[in-house]
Amino acid sequence: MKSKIILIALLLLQNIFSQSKIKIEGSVVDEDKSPLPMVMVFLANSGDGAMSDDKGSFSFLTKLKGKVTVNANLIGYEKFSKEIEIKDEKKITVDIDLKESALKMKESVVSASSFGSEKGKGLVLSRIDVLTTPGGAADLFQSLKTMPGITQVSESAELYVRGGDPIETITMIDQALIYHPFSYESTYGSLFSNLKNEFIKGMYFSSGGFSAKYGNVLSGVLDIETKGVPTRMQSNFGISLANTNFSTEIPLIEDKLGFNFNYDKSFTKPIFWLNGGLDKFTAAPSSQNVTGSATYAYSKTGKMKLFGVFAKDIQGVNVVGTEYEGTFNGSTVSKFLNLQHSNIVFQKLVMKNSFSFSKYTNNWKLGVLDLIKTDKVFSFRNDFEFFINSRTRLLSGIEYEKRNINYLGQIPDNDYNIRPEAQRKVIDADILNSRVGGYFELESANMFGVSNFASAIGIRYDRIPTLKLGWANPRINVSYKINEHSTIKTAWGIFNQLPDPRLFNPVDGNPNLKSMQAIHYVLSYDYLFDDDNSFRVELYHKDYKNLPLENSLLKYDNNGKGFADGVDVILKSTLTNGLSGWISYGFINTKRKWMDFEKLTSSSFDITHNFSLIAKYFVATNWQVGINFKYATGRPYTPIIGAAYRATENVYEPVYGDKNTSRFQNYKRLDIRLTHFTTLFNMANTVFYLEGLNILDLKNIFGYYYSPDYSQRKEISSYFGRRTVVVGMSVGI
Amino acid sequence: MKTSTTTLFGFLFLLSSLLGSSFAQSTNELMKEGKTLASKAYIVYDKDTFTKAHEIFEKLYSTDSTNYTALYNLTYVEYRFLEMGSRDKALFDKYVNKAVEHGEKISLVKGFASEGKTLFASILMMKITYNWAEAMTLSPRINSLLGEAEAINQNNPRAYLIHGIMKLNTPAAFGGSIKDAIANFTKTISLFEKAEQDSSLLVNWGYLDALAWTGIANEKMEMADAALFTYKKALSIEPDFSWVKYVLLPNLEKSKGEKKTTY
Repeated sequence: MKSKIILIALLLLQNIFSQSKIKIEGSVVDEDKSPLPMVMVFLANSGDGAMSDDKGSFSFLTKLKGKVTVNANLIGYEKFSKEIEIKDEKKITVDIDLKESALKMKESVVSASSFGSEKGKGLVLSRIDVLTTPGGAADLFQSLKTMPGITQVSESAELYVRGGDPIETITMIDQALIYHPFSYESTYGSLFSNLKNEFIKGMYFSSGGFSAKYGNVLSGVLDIETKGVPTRMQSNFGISLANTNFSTEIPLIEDKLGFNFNYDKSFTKPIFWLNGGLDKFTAAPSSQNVTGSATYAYSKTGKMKLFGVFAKDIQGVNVVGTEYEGTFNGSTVSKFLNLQHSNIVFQKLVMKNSFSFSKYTNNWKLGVLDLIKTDKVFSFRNDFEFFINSRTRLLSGIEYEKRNINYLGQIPDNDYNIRPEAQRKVIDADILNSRVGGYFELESANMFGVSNFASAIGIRYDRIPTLKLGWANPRINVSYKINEHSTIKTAWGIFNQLPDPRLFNPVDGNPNLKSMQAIHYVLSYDYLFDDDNSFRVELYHKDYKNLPLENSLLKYDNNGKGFADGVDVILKSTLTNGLSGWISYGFINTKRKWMDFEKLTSSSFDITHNFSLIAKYFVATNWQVGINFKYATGRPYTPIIGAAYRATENVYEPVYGDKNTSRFQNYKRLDIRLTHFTTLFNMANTVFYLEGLNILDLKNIFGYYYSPDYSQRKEISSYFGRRTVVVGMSVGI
Repeated sequence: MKTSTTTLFGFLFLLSSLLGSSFAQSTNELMKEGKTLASKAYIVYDKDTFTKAHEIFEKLYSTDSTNYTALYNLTYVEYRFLEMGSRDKALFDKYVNKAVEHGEKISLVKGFASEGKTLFASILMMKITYNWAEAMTLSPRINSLLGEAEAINQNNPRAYLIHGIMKLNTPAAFGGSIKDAIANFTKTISLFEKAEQDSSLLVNWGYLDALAWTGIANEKMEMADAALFTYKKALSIEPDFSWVKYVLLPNLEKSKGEKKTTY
């Protein structure tokens, strides 16, 4: 009897229990009705839920009754929410369709010839790569020069992209153009950038076939995004034989308001004292840089950011010229201020605006040369991104730029005589140009309805009202993802840019020059082994038209032309044994008929072979050794084959051979860096480093200087033409 | 004489077998006790309970240095000590060298390859938590250990868990990604939920961690409802899971309350 009662009680309990729990089941699929595994499906405000299995199916039990909300979340897809009512059913079926979010689409449209700092978007050059590249002095531009597509024309920081002049590559910071992001500009180029690594949040670089977003540029784009509100208070102090630096990040109101600040002072005297060469200078190069930003996030999506750079530098170099021995004195003051606003409006429209002002003043003095260049730029830019659906995005924007360049001073009448008493031209020239531009670009992650086909088709129009010039540039990028690892990309586009502003100078230029043009053709293959290991090979062809060419009547016309053909290869890897780095190789054949090159000739940027090997390896805990080996074909130059005496000036005028028919010796350099990471006083993260630049003391030269009658010549050593040792440390708290 | 010798050997054989069996039994029981203590210690996050578990595993391992199960469990407890040590320097200093030594050892033991490498990676990760400067050297090593662990056993949930924690706590500029972290945690949870019932003597850790870390990552993505679900799910599995019960869930509810008043 007792056992019967127990049995009945158990059956009742089981019945009650089974009645109290309802089964929720269903399946999760995407827009193509393909099952989605590992989707978290759950009832709001409860712990009831489950994850979908490999077939997209899920099921779980709940005790909840009445109206409840079923949620489903998967990264890359829009959040799913549906209200259901649970009554007395035993089970409820909920089928879930997840739509890909716009973010997912963005990731699948990757243009050719580009790399950036975000993983999963193709070839990566991260901040840590920049910081630890041996010989790169943690300088973005110097590190970029180890990547394919950028030729090693000289040791300067300027970027020579696929046979292009440095002015053919633009730099943008938070949407704003900056024309002089360098310090120590001289006739041989600039050494480092003014953009401090501490401020860089992300960057995108393209060496061809880039988006219609970028105008008035022929060869390359470097687009930098600076940091926003810092997440935590931190400061860093660094000192080396060449500079001292202090930076701090202050979050004033968490996630809302914060400041970033950096002060950098470089003083090269100790480094030249240690390594020799101090006698070359009357004033060892020194510079100061103050960079700061303030960011205010006034809402979840709205943000205002004020970013500014103030930089100045001086240098006094003893110059042994053919006809004159004296001092080159250079000084530069550069100011840049940008106010950026960004927000998301109407849920699907991302809007970014920037107002910027920059002023750059540069003074060069050498013999008769005494020239002050002032470059003032005011610009405004508005970019929109509208998400039409989860796989299509429309980009558009407008920009306005007003640029005023003034040259004031005197320049030698003839290049071969720069003595202080030499014949001269006095210049006080204003070159005023304003430009308006606009673009549309449609990005699609499933071109022709094929999910692996992505495209970006755009057009932009630029107009220079003062020159009554205008041009339209169509551009197309298409990529096809063969499988999880392999992608083929191709790009075509027309690119226009105004020539060097100096050529518009009414004194010795032509204010009516037209814009130069390049047509890019790119075909590339990417293989991503995983996030840390990638391979890329890329073929390209560039056709140049309307290049400036010397003209005896007009000074310059637009009858120049040229081309650049090449292949770029890179293998970037992080191996399991702690070895990381990359190998890049570029082959280029480029010829130009432009400036004073009367026929199609190897341009000065025709560096046939470019090779870089960057390797970093942890030899012991906290000890890393890195090497940076560079090899590049010597730069072409025009040889001097004789000289004619000019009695009126008492100077020899060189007689040049055929243009660019000689080459300097091949460039070879090995930098090595030993880094030790440690913690001081249990609180200060400290990095000590010892760096040997051109450790093998390999001879590299900039050019030649000649005896007064040009019968003998001597080599001009490059910046790093001798072995240089740098030690330094950095402390962060 | 011959008979008595045979009898003696027979007796000794029987005795040794009995002793051996009894020893094995007591070893297993001790191991089970240690495992229970270690699991309980994590739920209530109690140093003393961890210490008791540590004593048991240490005793077992010192008695038999080929008892790799004991070594694994011992190393696991030391990993938790390092985790606690982020707020208790003395505790961290006390165990860090042992943990690294044991972690390295277990990572090389055949049969423990995937689990051992994951545990060693976890220990190295805790070293970074305590000392940022070591990130430069240890991150590549951790990533390579986890890569190997995942290659050896693609269904090792703990490898994905540690991968996720690394992704979540690394600044974006250095390769961190909340989205990648969530993908790893999701995979961890999925693997735990697919796994057969645990009958091993190894401490089966990571499921609750994965739920808690998923919640944290979801909070960072401003998906409070998803975070709330994972926290509640964790509590439905272990109602006394103190990290979620006393820290994460109250903080989430507090921030949700604050947001309501703000907007």
